[in-house]
Amino acid sequence: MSLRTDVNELAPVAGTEAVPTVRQASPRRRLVRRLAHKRGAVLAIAFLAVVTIAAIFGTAVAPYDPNAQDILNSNHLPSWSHLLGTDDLGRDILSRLIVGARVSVRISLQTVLLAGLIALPIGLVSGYIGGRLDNLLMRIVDAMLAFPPLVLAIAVAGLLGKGVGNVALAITIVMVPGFTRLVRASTLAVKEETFVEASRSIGTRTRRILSHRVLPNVRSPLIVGMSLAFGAAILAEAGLSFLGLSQQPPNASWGNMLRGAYDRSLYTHPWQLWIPGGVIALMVLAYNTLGDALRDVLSPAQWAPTRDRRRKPWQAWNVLRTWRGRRRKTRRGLTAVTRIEVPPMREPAPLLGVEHLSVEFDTEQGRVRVVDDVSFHVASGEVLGLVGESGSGKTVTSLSIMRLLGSPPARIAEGAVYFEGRDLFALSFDEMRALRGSELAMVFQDPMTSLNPAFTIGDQLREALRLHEDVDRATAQARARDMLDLVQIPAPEQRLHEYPHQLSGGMRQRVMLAIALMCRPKLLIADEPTTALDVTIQAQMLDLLRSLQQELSLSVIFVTHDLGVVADICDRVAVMYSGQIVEQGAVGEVFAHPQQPYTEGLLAAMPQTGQIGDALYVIPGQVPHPRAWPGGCRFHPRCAYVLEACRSETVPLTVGSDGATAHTPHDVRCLRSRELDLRGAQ
Amino acid sequence: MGTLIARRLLALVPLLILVSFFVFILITLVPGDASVELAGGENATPERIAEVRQELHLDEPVFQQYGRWLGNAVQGDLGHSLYARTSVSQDIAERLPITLSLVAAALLVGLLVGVPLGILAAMRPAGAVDKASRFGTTLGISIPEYWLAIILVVLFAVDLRVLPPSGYVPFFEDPLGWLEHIVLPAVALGTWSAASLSRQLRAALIDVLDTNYVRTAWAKGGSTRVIVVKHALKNAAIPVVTILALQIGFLMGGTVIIEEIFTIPGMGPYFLRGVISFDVPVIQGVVLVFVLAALLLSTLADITYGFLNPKVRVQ
Repeated sequence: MSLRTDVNELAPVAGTEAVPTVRQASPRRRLVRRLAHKRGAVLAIAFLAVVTIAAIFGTAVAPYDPNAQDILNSNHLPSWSHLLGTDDLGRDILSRLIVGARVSVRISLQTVLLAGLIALPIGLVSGYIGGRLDNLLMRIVDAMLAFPPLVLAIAVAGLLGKGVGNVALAITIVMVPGFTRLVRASTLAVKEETFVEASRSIGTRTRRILSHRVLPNVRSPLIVGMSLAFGAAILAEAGLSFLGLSQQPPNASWGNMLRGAYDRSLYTHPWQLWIPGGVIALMVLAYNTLGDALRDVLSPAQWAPTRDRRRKPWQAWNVLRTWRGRRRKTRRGLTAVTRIEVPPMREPAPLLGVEHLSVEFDTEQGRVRVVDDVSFHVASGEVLGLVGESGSGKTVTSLSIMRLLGSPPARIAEGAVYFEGRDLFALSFDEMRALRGSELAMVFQDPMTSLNPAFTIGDQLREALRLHEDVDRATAQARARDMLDLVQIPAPEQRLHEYPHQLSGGMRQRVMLAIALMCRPKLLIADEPTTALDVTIQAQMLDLLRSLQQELSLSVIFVTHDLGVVADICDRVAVMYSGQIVEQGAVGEVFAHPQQPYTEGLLAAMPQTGQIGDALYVIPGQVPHPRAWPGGCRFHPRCAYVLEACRSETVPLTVGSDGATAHTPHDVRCLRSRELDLRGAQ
Repeated sequence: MGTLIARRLLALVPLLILVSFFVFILITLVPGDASVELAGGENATPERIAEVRQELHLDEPVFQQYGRWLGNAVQGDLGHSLYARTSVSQDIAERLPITLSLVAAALLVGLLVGVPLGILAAMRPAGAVDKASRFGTTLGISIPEYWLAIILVVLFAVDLRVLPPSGYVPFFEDPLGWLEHIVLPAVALGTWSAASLSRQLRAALIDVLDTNYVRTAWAKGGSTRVIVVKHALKNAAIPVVTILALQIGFLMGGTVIIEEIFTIPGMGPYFLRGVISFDVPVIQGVVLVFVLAALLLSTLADITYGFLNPKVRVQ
């Protein structure tokens, strides 16, 4: 999960049945609707439509004969009789602009469509069949792409002879290789997809695969590429016209109008320069806007919250913006805080106290609460396990402590985190920065992507130290070496000079741990540090963590979904479900006498040695999406002990509940904790 | 790193052969009997036609012509202009540095404006700076460079009279004069480059700033400067350098019109006169040199890519 966590990643999409989904329309209509939501695209289409109509009707809609000279009326400023004025020969500028549009519109459509039509079969065949043919075609394409496009167009158009038709041919020739490349690349990408392989394996004919499977997937990138090429074609034609290679005077094109004004009116009537140039720019702008909008609409990134302008007034952003009458300050690298009240610190103060923490995400569908009123603490030298299934909010909770969630979309809606008595949510970026990596450190889930690929291991280790301590490079290097030794990486001296991609996953996670420990932090947050590793490496990693924890008397928050690991290395455990803590206490107590059916389920689902042959227990159902948390007890749809009251009543966390057995008091969130006698583990 | 450079340069060889062949066969685009057209079309005298045919060896088969032309080109001989009778290689040698300095100046404008703008926009997507830069860069990639050049001339040379409207002074004769003359063309040409560069960099940076390794850097206590300048920029530069290589080709094409507008005695006006008068040796020579320069510069970009990306470098 990245800094800018997408709420859709927080839980499997299953369980979202309760969420009202957008009414399904045909893909094409949906596309049009999404396009219609973009103001720029609508304006662009309108402008292009006007210009195209003018171009089609040409002289019929032009108020004057575009070539009729009237020397007595030359260089007139715009007036009612000549809406855009007249040029140095007294010709009506608007009329010339209209017939000039003919050239631009024709060129852009003709060249792009023709180039697309030529490139499509070549690219498809080249990409799909591959081999020697592909190799040869791509060499040719590469060679053509090496030419500066305008230089090639000028040479080709010049040698073919002046005129609009030859310019169109020249521009087409220049465009074909780029499009071919695009089609081939998309074909290659689709070719490897399983659905195409499946088609192939059941013996579908190549032609049918190409037309029914590959083509639909090549279409979108090609459409976007072509729509962006329209503007380029217009620019190129106007440039060639300006140079006198395309439309020949006295017939008008936008480019030669600009040239005429430049040659003859630069010093006397410079206003004439604005009109043809402005129209070229507007036309290109319109095509580019349309192309950008199409790209947004055709690609999945369309859901990025930054692009939506049509937010309803009650939705999150506007609320935030007017928060206490001022715009909320957001910055990269620090989760925003929008709480109103600051809950007090518990007594006696532990090393870390999380008090009533709630985290919300602002999405297009409104705000979603992902962590809801979570409180726990970690004493000095203690290891706390934070457990729950994927989507229960453990990772968001741990990232919130470091304030590493990106804003937007995340923000801390309520609560406080006290570290050594300081409220972390009241700190400035620089104050927080001073704590990160030095007092508070974190190890992440995915070692493969958590190290910067562009820097050596040594660099990244040294940096961790030098961000906080004023030491020279040599000292930092020595400490880095020692640290690699400490996390039991063989040949540390050599590793320092290597890049992350040269290391295995297990090695990288050890490096991550070394980075986290460089400054001897007081609290280490380990977010599923072993999940991405294979089983044997996991065990080594856990052994290492445990021994280092004791050696350095670290406090640790260990986030995991593996209760076996919790039993192994944790002192206390907090069980999370749907953003809430449902049970917490000493590991021994909670494991032996769980008071919450969810905890019982997790314990039962834990694989235990010595029970070979039994089917592994699975909690029925799935973790609900944060948008679809059920009312009452959030676990009730999956709970075997559910009562009517569980569906309707909000269930509070009972602090120090002694349960049915009356000898293991800990915190529980269950209406029936006093009556149920649940099964624990050894 | 050395082997990487060698490999890239070696890969250029087949490409160069193909490219040079394309340059050569440009002559076949001339409609009808090339020798008649090149000798002056309808007004051509039979003697002149024979002369042109003999000079360009148009009687020989195409591949033989190509072989001869390539052999000479490799030795630095690109033939003679059909009209001015001057050596094309020498003409180009005089003009290429001027054009390359214009490209370099435009690229500098592009980098100096585009990089900071891209970074600022990426820092807060949808923030005020981002919105303003989105608007500005959309304009920047849509405005034709020749129109922008003319507007700049109107504003700074005609109205304000602070910069010369045209002309060129060699750098080594008068550096200040050179700067005066190069500013407007470089800005006109570099604006598009700055706009597209900042958009690419913004997109790349936003992606990189979302990665896990950047989160690690925040978690280590990195300042915004460390995160952006060290961790993000180096990775975001990888796709941007590829774009930069493409831009060089576009900028070279742009110089042709810009030099024409500002009457800079570079490759542009020379090329255009060649094109308009069907001076094939000039056209072939100029196009070949342009492609070579573009290829070399993009190979340089490729090598930079290897420097930025250790996966390419360490095999």
